[in-house]
Parts: sequence; C-alpha cells; structure tokens
Amino acid sequence: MITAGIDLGCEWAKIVLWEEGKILSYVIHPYGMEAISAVAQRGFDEALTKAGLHVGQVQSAGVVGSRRDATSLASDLLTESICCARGSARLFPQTRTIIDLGAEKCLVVGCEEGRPLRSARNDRCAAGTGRYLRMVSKLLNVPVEETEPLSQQAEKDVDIETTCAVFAESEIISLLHQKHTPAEIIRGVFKGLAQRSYPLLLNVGLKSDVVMIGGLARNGGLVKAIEEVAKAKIWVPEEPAIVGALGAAIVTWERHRG
Amino acid sequence: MGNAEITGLKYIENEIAILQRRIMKIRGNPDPRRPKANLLLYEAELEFREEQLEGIKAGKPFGRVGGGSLTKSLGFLYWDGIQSADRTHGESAKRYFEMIRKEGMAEHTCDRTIIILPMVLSGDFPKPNFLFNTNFECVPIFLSLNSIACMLDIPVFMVDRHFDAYSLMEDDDKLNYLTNQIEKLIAYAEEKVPGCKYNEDKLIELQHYDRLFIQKNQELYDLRKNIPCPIPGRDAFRELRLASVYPNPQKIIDYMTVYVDEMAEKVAKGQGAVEGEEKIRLLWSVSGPFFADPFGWLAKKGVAVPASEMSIFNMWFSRRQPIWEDPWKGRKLAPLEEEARQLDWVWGRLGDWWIQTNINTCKDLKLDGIIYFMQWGCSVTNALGGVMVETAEKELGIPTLLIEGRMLDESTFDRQDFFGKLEDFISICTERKQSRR
Repeated sequence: MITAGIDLGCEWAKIVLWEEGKILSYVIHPYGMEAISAVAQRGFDEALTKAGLHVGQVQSAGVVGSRRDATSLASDLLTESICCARGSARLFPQTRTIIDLGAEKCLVVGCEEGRPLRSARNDRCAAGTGRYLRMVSKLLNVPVEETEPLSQQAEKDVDIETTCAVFAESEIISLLHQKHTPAEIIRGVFKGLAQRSYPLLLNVGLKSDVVMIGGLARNGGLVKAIEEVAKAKIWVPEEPAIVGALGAAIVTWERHRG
Repeated sequence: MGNAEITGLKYIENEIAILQRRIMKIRGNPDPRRPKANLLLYEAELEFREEQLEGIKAGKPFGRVGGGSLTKSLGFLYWDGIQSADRTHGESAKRYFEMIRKEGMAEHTCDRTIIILPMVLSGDFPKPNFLFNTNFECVPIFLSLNSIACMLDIPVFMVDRHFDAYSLMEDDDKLNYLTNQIEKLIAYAEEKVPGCKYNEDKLIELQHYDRLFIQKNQELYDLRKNIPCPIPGRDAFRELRLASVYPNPQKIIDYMTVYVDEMAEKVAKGQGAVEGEEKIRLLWSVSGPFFADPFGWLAKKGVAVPASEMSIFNMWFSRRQPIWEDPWKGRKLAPLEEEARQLDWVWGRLGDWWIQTNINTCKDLKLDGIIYFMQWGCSVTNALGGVMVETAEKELGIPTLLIEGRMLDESTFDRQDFFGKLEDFISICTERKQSRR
C-alpha cells in the first residue's frame, strides 16, 4: 500500500511517498509568494513523477503542520507529535527524544518505540526558532547557510542577553559597535537558541537517543550548540526536513492498512 | 442601618435581567438538549440576586462572615464578589483591565482575583459592609479582599487557620483554636454592623441544607465515573453556591435532585456528553480561557472532561474531607465547631495535598490525562506544574499538558497556539490509551 505524507509548515511544503518500509520519493518546496495549496499540489505531483507513480496508486494521504488546512489533498489531519515520533523512530529506532526546530516552532517530544509520550513546545514567540536565526543572518548580511561555517571561525561566543527576537536586533547592533565579530555573534545566537530549547527538553525528560529534525537541523553549528547545552549526543537524519512528512505517511498507512 | 449611597447595583441588575431572559426562554421554548433542571437553577439564582438587590436597597447588611451558613445566620446578605468576578468576560472584563492598568494596580497577578477590585471601586458591584479573610494558598484573593477592605474602609476580620489537615486529623486543639476565633468573628461583626445578630437555630438549619447539597454533589461525582460521562465539560467547572446562601435553600436541593436524576437517566441509556464516541477523558485543572469555549471544542473531538480540580467542591470528594454533620471522633460537633471544621478548605497546603487531590480525581474517574492550566499569577499551582507532570506519570502512567494563560483577559490569548497544543496533547493521550489496551 502506498501512502503520502504532507507536512505544510510555515514556509515549506514537504511531501513523502511511502510504501511499507521504504521512502519512494520526497520533495521539499518553499511557498515563496505562491498559494500554499498550489505548492502542495505541485510538490505532490513532483513526488509522484519522481517515484514513477500516478495519483491513483496512492491509497491515502495524511497532512500535518501549522498550515495543514490549506490543502485538500489528504483525508487524515494529523498532529505533529505523532508524526515526529513515527518518522524519527523509522530512521533511528532508539529515538527517545526529538527536537523539531522549524521556522516558527520548537517542538520537543519524548517518545518510545515511535509513540509520543509527552511533548512541549514554545509559545508563539520567534525567539527560539528559525525566524530568529533568519533575522540575525539578515542583520549580519550572512546567508543562513553560511552561518555554520562562519560560527566555526569564532574563538569565543558572546552572550545575547535579551530573550526577545525583536529586541535582540538592537542588542546585536550594539555588539557589532563593540567590535564583536559576526562569527562570535552567530555562535552566541546558536547558544541562545540552544538555551531556549533546553527547558523544553527537561520538560519532556531528556533521554538518549536524541534526534533533531526540521530545517534547522541541517545547521551543524546549531546542533553542536544544543549538544553542549544538553550534554547529549544528537543524531540528525540525512534529510531532517522531511521527517514530519515521513511520519505522516507512516501514520496514515497504519490507519488504512486494514 | 442603611448605606450612605446605594451603589454597585449595576452588576446585580444586569444578572437579574439575564436570568429573567433565560427563564422566559426555557418556559417558552425549552432546548431539549439542556437539562430540565436548569429552570430550577435559574429560578434559585434569580431569587438569590433579587434578595441581594432588595436587601441592599433596604439597607440590610451585605458581606462575608466566614462561610455561607454563618454569614446568613447573622442576617447578612451573601457577598459573592469573587464568584461574580469569575463571570465577567468580553467587554466588561476588558473595561476592568483598563481600569487596573490606569490605576496602577497589580496587572500580572491572577486576573480572576484582581478583577473584583475595579468592579467594586467603580461602583459596578456592591461594596460589602463586612469582610472575613483568612490565610490560605490563594494569596491573590487574600490580598484582593484586604485591599478592598483597606481602600473602602470596610471592617475585616482575619481568621488564622492551620496549614495541616486538622479536619481530617480530628485535632481537638486546632478545632478549638478556630472555634474561638469564630466566636470573636461573630462578636466583631455584631459590633461593627448594627442590625446583624447571630441566630444559632438558623445556622443549624443552614448547615443541614449544606450537608444535603454536598450529598447530592457526591451522587453527581459518582455519576461522573461512568463511561461515557453524562456531564458536559463546562459543567465540571460550574462552581455552584452552597445551598445555605440562597434565600430558599430547599430549591437548590430540589434542583440538584432533578439534575442528578437526569444525569442518572443518561447513564442508564449510555448517553455521554460528547459528540459521538467518548474517546478519552481528561481532568482539567486550575482554570482556563473559558471565553474560548474549550469544552465545546473538546466535546466535538470526543473528549470528555468529567471533572475539574479548581472547584472547592472537590475538597469533599477528591480530598475525602468530612462534610457538615459528619461525626468528629464519634460525636456531633456544636454549630460553631462545625463552621470551624468547614473552614478547613486549604486546598494546597505544602503542595502534596494539591497534587494528591488531582491524582485522586484521575483515579476515581478513570481519566486518561490532565490539562493543567498555568494561570498567570497563581504561584502555588504554577510551582507545582512540574510535580504534577511527574506524579501523574509515575502513579498513573498518564500525561499532563502544561499550558499557560489567563482566565478572563482575552488580549493575551492566542487561539491557534492554544488549540494547537490542545490538539497535539489529545493525540498523545489517545495513542497512549490505545497502547495501554
């Protein structure tokens, strides 16, 4: 049975096609200025093409994410904790804790054998999310993808004292005037992001193995910062952004397998 | 004795109008989905408010002197300031918050306990002639009542209560300590408020009504144990007044009798309060953004909320405390001793009590999870959130959602965030329940 998992986050659509134990294809698309429903449809079509399938071969689809209501492609409306847990356990069977850092969220899930036991997430605040990093990278005129190698150039980090992403902007400008380098500031931002996620980790009970998913997991500098704060090794899938969609495909497969 | 100026009737007049409309609607076109007993409840509430209105206009004393039964036995009209504050919402609540901010009052405390201040100070709610206050975990209420007394020059009597469960321990020394204070409270009230006089026969009569009322609530609590639960989630939070404060206490007993019978009939028919199948059952603890109707939202998803842990009524059930007229070391207590015993509504003590009552309710009612609302400014319950999570996990194997917010202030409410977290939690509870089978 072939199922589809669609993860519609704040900025990206992720689609996975799944067949009992195997990812057939996946697609990741930014929304840009397009309607989310159109991007989801386009991504779904592309995933079908990549897998050499047509739509009739997909028995069911599940959708997850903050923008899941934007599409009518899926019949199963799913929640993030379950999809994160299933997807992570598929890739790392020993997963006990998941950190999902996205554009607007930090979700932490404690789980066992792919089942979520408890979760904690940030309130609607940019401070512990990808938005914050994007704001900083824009301010420093450094593309987000270059923040990791840049952070490695810093000999020390600097503490960003404010907890608010909006006020952090003026604090960072002050730090630049104090001759701190962008590399040091970036490392400080990574540390701040890690510190924001730490209480959530404690809330769900930090247990190994810890897996990080979501777009920000591609940033090795951030992963390292969280490892330092949490004092735990963090595993990152090859493509961390699709884990939610993978989980959605698995959950919908479980529900419809009969 | 009369009030120098009769103010503060706006809230009461408004409530009377609302109740009259409700009663007219029920009599004219009753909603078959609602309990028939509601008519009796609204009639009793209307009588309560009308007694307040007419009594205040006639200059009768209005206040709190210990519990409801003692207050009424002294000839007072019952001042229900805090409960009335709980019922504000929408534009009224907004207006009071603006007053709080403008007057420099404590804004970031628990909203349900601060809002009575602008209600009284603005003249919307009647000023009491006498107040009773006591030490317990709800420091914001303690401070609000003292503030009202201080700002409006109202006599207030402080009763000092023990922090350990003297009513359960049946500690004679502690009971005597409280009883002596109640005697002084009565004497002070009689001195300060001309026209009020302690009537012991009246107190005994009212205490008996309170016993009957709590017994009916115990029956209701037992009905909540059924799966599916017949009682809607929003009723789990409905904090009824004790029978003794109504002008016609028998009416509220009659209401409870009819309501219990209706719920029992639903149990016999297997009818639940949620839409479709009852998938999970949750405890809702502390308070919540009721203006957003979370219980209606949950009911649509097949989630029952058979109980709340906030209502003082749970102290007799989940805390297993003695009710009026229960024996004390095999003997019957004197009326003022009974009042002293019933003042033992310290719900948190050193923390373990609060946790245990939540756990007891979950066990009694076979609940699958806890929604623990971290009410801003509620230092006691907030401090115990983490302990609640750990204890529920360890003793019951059920998850707890810690979710922040305020009860009355809509300006701080993020609907998407709130319901998103709720939905996620429900899916976790459902999965975990399925894996327990």
